[in-house]
Amino acid sequence: MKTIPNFFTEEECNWFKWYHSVLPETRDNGQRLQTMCHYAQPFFARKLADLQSRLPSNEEIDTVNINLDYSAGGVHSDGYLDTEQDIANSYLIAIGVDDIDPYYTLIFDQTSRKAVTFNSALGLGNKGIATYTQATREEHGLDDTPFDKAVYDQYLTHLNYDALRGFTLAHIHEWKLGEAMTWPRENFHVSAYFKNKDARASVLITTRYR
Amino acid sequence: MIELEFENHGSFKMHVTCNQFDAKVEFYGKNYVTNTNDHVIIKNIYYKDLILPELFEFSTMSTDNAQYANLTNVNYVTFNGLWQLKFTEDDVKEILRKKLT
Repeated sequence: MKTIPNFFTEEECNWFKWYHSVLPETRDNGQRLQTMCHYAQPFFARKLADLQSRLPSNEEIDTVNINLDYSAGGVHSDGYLDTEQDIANSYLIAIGVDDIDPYYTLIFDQTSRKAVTFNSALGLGNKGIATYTQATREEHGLDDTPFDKAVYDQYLTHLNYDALRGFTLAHIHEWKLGEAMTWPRENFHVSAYFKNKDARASVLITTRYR
Repeated sequence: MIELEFENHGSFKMHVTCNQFDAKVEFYGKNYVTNTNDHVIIKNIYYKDLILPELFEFSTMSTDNAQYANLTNVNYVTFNGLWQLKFTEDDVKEILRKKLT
């Protein structure tokens, strides 16, 4: 878990917001407006090369999405979708922040190489589900150890506390404009609860090993 | 911002002005007697880092050749003259819509 300060300049943050505004398709998954960057399209080639140059040379880009979040989400991993692949890291770059009431992303120790979500188990139903499958506690061998209550009270009150049994906290990222927050794709993570639904925006880059 | 990429084959001189939604290129200096084959290829148009050759459809050129005084959709320049590009953000949205849907 690390951060990369100034991964994007403020101008680059605004570029992605502009790009989101001119793309024809945005998906509303019940928690966020999500726009695919179409990173493999020829018209994006220059931007893709620029993004790729900022990443470790043994990683290649697998996904680039723009997310405008209006509701805190559930616990999930951003692993592979259908076919096993050599997944690497997630880079979540904050392009919209609230300086007064900061946004946070919590990373857990538990992992899943396949992209899954616990949204249903956490009381969020099918909100936030686009392409990920629902997972159960049993499938992932979560035990009954209570989750850290202080962390829950500060960050995760939008979730069912009991459903977090067995999860342990690895890291808390605070969103800072232009900063990339990174973690292994297989690690479960979750958005902290937030009040300001109008400012939160990010670019998510996921990578695989070459 | 608009960026233009050129491939100059010969003695053409260019004066390039790029703004948010328009651009002008003055092509001059070609000697039609001694440099018959000189030409410039405008290889690409970038708008805010997106590669959008479809924007050539929004280009015009006026030349000093009576037969080809006014041209549209120009990316191959053989005459002295003024190449111009003008579009709107809605045009960019429409280009992306056509590409992606």
